[in-house]
Amino acid sequence: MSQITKRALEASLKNMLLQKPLDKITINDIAKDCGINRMTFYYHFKDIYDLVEWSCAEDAAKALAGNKTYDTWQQGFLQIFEAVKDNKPFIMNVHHSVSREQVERYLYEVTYGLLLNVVNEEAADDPVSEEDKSFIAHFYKYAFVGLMLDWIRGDMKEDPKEIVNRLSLLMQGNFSRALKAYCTGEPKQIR
Amino acid sequence: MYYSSGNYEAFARPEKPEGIEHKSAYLIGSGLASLSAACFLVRDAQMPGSHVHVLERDSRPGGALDGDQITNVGYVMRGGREMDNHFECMWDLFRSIPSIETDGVSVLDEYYWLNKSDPNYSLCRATQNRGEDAQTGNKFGLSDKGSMEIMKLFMTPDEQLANVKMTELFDEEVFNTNFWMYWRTMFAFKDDQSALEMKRYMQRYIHHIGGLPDFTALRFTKYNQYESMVLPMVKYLEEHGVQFHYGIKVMNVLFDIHDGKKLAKTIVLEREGQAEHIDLTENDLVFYTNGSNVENSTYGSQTKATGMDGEIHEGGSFDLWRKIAAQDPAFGRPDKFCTDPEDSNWVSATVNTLDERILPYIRNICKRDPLSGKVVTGGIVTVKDSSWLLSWTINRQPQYRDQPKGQVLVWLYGMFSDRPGDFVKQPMRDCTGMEICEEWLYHLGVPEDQIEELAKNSANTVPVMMPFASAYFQPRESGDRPSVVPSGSVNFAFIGNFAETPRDTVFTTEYSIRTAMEAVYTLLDVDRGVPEVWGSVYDIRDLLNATVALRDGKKITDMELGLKKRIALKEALKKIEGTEVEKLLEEHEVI
Repeated sequence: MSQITKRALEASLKNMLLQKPLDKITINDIAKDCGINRMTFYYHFKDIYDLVEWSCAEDAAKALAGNKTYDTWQQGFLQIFEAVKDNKPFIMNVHHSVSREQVERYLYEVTYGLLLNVVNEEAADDPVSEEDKSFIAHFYKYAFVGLMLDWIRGDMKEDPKEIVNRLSLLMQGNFSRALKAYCTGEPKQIR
Repeated sequence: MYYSSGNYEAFARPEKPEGIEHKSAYLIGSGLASLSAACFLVRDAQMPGSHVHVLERDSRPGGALDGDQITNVGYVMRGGREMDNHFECMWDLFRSIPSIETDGVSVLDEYYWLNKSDPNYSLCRATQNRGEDAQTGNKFGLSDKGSMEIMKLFMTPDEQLANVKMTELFDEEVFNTNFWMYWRTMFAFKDDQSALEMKRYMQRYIHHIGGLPDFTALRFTKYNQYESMVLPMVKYLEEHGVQFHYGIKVMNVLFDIHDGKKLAKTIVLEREGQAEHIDLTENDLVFYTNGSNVENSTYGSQTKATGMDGEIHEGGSFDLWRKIAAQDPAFGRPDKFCTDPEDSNWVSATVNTLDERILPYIRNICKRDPLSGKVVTGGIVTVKDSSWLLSWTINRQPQYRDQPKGQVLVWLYGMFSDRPGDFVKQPMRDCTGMEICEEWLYHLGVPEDQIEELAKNSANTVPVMMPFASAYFQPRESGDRPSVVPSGSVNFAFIGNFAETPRDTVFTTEYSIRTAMEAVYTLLDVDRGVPEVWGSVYDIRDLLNATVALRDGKKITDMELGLKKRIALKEALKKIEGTEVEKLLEEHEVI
């Protein structure tokens, strides 16, 4: 009896995506690929899209592991690019199907998390409200993900390093400038 | 997981535990413990609902919390629950579960308002001689010797109570009193059951001792617990996308145990006779309700007796616990609880009155109108001189939302199903619903020549035999019940009334919810306090009140004492003269 876990189902899904588009893949296909009966699938996921969402979240977490500081947001972002590239057939396929939103949502979520960490670290000593910090992170999130979506649409041809380098130059000092603008008083000396 | 008390923790919301999106949960069983665990997973651990899977053998949720209506048989409730204002985990949960009756209010609001506007108390706690008030006068009737026996148990450390039965500590000075009659019928304790649990009960409900004789301590749901508790929880969970899988018989859980780590790796199950399995990683958490006190319930009908099935069957809850327990000593000892059905069984019955004819006899005893929609008996009425030891209760009517107007649902149970009745000369378990109703009518004082006719035409009675009903109370020692999260467990927790959590008492709805909360908070690392078991046992005021109440209001200065002790008491009182201690003792009428 081999172990069929969520990870195995994810692997099967990705395997199937090499053969046909997402909206043509059925739970039966995945079950057959895994060697389980159809019902077993439902013990793990509600439907295919639940599996897709889970796979996205898993990949994102792997990509971001341990890169959540300001010095390395570039590296974090680069790793998201790389993770997406590693999963090219999966991402392209999902993105071209009805669950495009799922890919976008997961990119937004991951990127927002990354950016909020940067903002929080930068703002450590300044009295800026949580609302404003979140606003800043959301604003840049759209820019970052927008670049990535364009890159995906262009079949991932551009070198992610180039994009991140260019972005890094553009962003230099932007977070701290934005935070100053939202400052509600004297920066705190003692925390 | 840590315990807390007070408003700071009560009103706080925990932060989302890290990595929760990557975790899933499997709940074996869908009783109150499982449903609560699912609620805490969704509300506090903030796990996506679609990651929560409830695996249930039956075709509907709720476990022992039932409120059934069987086609061609009738209404039947296996049990009824009474709640306390210090069910801390329960109210922590139900404040968040929306009512299914009234928009914009919680199950707690609904319950609180109901019990405020219509508080519970009994006007007749016991009867004798076929419908006469037993005139217990709200007294315990304990002698000084009886009180001391109880005090002694209260003070004995748990280790000394391992496997001890109450018969080893108490004699007729306790057993032959009103105190014991109230106690054993209210909680369904038998004389030879666990002294350890008895002690926990005394400590847990020390603040309610005074409210015990007339049930001012109790509160009830509006309908049966299936409709008042299970349905709102299920609706809440379904709205959060929780996945319910019915018709799933879990046959085993296989563990990978090494280097002190215990990982549940496979759930083995059967669906429509087909073997299936769910493989698990450390991110797939299992919440398992071990054992069940409604295992092997057999239903009779108006014309059919229940019989009794005390065997452990494959695929049942105790069988599963045995298979799991065989894999590690920390997983408990099910056989301590499930091997004496002759002791743990009782039979309950739901009597559905069909017309007005039985109602005057009821009114005569409980002194209230059973059709008023308000409190009727206010807790159980015990038939003191019944050989089955019958107790019966009528909660606010209707007990079902679809119950026909003018009909009353009575719930009764007998603690001794193997003894012949007083009117029906055969054991309760061999009686049809109608015969059980006859025995009850006899004790209500219905003239003998009308009994059969009323039981036949004015009522429909559905009995249920539960061989393991009070299995929770079997004598036990440390280790018989597995800890909620056994040490070294990575992804597995025991929940429900056969799991061990310190200080709380089994055979309560709170215990199911508490173990669920502790399990979720531990395995998911939810950073908020679990409310501790209400600390009345550490509150001097409650201790003093209970001491006086147990002595039916008599002061310690009225105690029969030898010369030496009398002098010692006098000296002690002299020492506290003019101090806060004296004031406190006076305020609580101890002296």
